Amino acid sequence: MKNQNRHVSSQAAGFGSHRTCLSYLLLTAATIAYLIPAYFVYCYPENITFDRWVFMGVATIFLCILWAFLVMVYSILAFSGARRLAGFFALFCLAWVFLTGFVFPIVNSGAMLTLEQLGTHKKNFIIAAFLATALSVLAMKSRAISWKLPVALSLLAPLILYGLIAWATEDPRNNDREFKKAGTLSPRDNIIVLSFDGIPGNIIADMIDHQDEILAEFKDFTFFKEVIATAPATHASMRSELFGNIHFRPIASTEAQINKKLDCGSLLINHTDDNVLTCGPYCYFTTDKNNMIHINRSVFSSNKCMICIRFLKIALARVSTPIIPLLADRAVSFIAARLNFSFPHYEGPAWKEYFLCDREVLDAIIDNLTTGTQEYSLRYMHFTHTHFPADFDSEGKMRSTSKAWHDQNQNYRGLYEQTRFALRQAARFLGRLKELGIYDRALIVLKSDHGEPVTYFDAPPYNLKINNNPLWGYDRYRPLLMIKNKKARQPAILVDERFVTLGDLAKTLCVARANPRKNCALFPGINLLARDPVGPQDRWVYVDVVRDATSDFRFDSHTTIPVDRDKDFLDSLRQLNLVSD
Amino acid sequence: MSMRRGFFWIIAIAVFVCSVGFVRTAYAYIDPGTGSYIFQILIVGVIGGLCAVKIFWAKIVLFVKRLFPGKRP
Repeated sequence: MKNQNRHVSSQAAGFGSHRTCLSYLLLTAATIAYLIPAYFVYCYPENITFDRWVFMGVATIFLCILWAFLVMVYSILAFSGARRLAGFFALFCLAWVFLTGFVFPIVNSGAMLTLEQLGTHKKNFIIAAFLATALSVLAMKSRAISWKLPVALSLLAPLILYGLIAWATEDPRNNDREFKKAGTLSPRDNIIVLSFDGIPGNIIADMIDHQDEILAEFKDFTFFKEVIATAPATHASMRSELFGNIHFRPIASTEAQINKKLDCGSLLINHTDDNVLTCGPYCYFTTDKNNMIHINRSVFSSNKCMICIRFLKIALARVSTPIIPLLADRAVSFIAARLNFSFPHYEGPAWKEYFLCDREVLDAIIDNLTTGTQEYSLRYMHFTHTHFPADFDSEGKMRSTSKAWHDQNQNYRGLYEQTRFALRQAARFLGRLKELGIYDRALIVLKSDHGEPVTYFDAPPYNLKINNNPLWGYDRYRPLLMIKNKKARQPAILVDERFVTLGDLAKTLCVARANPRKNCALFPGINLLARDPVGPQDRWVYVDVVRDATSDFRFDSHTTIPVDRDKDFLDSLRQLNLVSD
Repeated sequence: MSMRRGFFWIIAIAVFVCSVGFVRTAYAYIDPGTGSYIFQILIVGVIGGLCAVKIFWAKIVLFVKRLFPGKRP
């Protein structure tokens, strides 16, 4: 009888009981706190550097706050006589969050940008608003689903999230084992690629011109002054570096399709005879999981909670435009200022915070350098802490917890100091090799994957934009490349002024490996360690450029142009009317 | 297990399998506006299919029973 009465009163109200509506709001909050982050974890497993338990805790607190807020709005509506409107609100919230969270995100697509720089996706906003309204109206006219289903889904959501985080991250207890694995080199023959994200080659050229004392540690190296990155975005750059100077665009029009079509089995890093280990984005191209260095970076995060909060803000922006998380930020800052409470936090963009810990990862690998018993070893290691923005001073102190310091150093000077720190780390690496007596038994490549955005430079040609893109300019194509051959000894660093590409490393290292079972003709390009004339087949290189001002770092938003090695790279860009001030 | 609960678990497992089974390629930066249309179509397809099964469940059961008329105790 009681149930019957409740049902009748619910029907009269237009939609289910308060309990049902509250369960819908709970599922709405659980979707934002757990399911949308789970979607990001599955999309970007390589960027997951947070501690899984800390994240679950922060997400649960976030869920409680969100649910409390939604319940408050619902209660105001329900108890001010607008019972039908309150029911509609509960349904609309759920429909809206599912639609925008998984199908029609209302934040613009974009990367390397802060939330402030991302606009609202107006088309998705209109579609989601229409569909959510229609679904809510339809649902109000039908029988309400039992409250048990949303509650059960809400309880399942954290399990899904935890499962995905566990899948994406390694057990932190294994880190020591991985560092030892990475650091154990051959006592006889080694090829080591030490790659730093985003270090511009022109800064090293300036250091050479100014006779910076840090370069004394690299006197046995050859510096390639005119090297270009044909595909200056991390993943694409590494693809060129490993496969050689291939024209990738005819293979497929999207990055995902190219990756499917390319045969990674032919790569040097997948040669089964060798002791190979890859670290960072090189792992994408590594076919054997045993040959990857699996590191749980969350243990290095100095501010585990803040990293989780920033991640949740990205999820919130997806369903509420970037305005809501920014407003929440302002509100928290305002309250903290009123309470005279401050906590140090990273002032750069959220995505960079995930990369900062690579500084400690590299230090740990250097500390673990030793010699093993293998005949030959190959290491491809990429570290992302040097990616823009500039966060480290030349001593390696992370200074971006100070807003003033952060804002004052997003320029050439900031990059210069951060580059000096990266070189210090590389010098420490070389020092360890000397201590182990294998410095002369190692071919060492010190490189980056691309240069930096135009905003960091005041003077041409490095501040020239490509196709009026606000970030993408000439410097992006000017990475660092320095090579020290085995047994190389010389009084000072050599400067090679040939037009070469990072893609030439594929041929160079294949030849250097000198494995009779390896067919180096597979890798188009020139041997950087030889002075052979460039053959007609290697004369042209294929350079990815942004299509327009809205393009980002992705291959899918670029176009490819052929560039002649016999001409100056900047002249080629100018001839094609690609550069502008 | 009641039919409703069974239906819930089927949806939950389908969502989970789709979530981890169809990893899209994305690199280096988290893009809040990212959209994996294959994933979304699959989710909609799976849930739509399950809803269709639910709606026609009685008819499906009847059809199966007709196929095996002698098996009932």
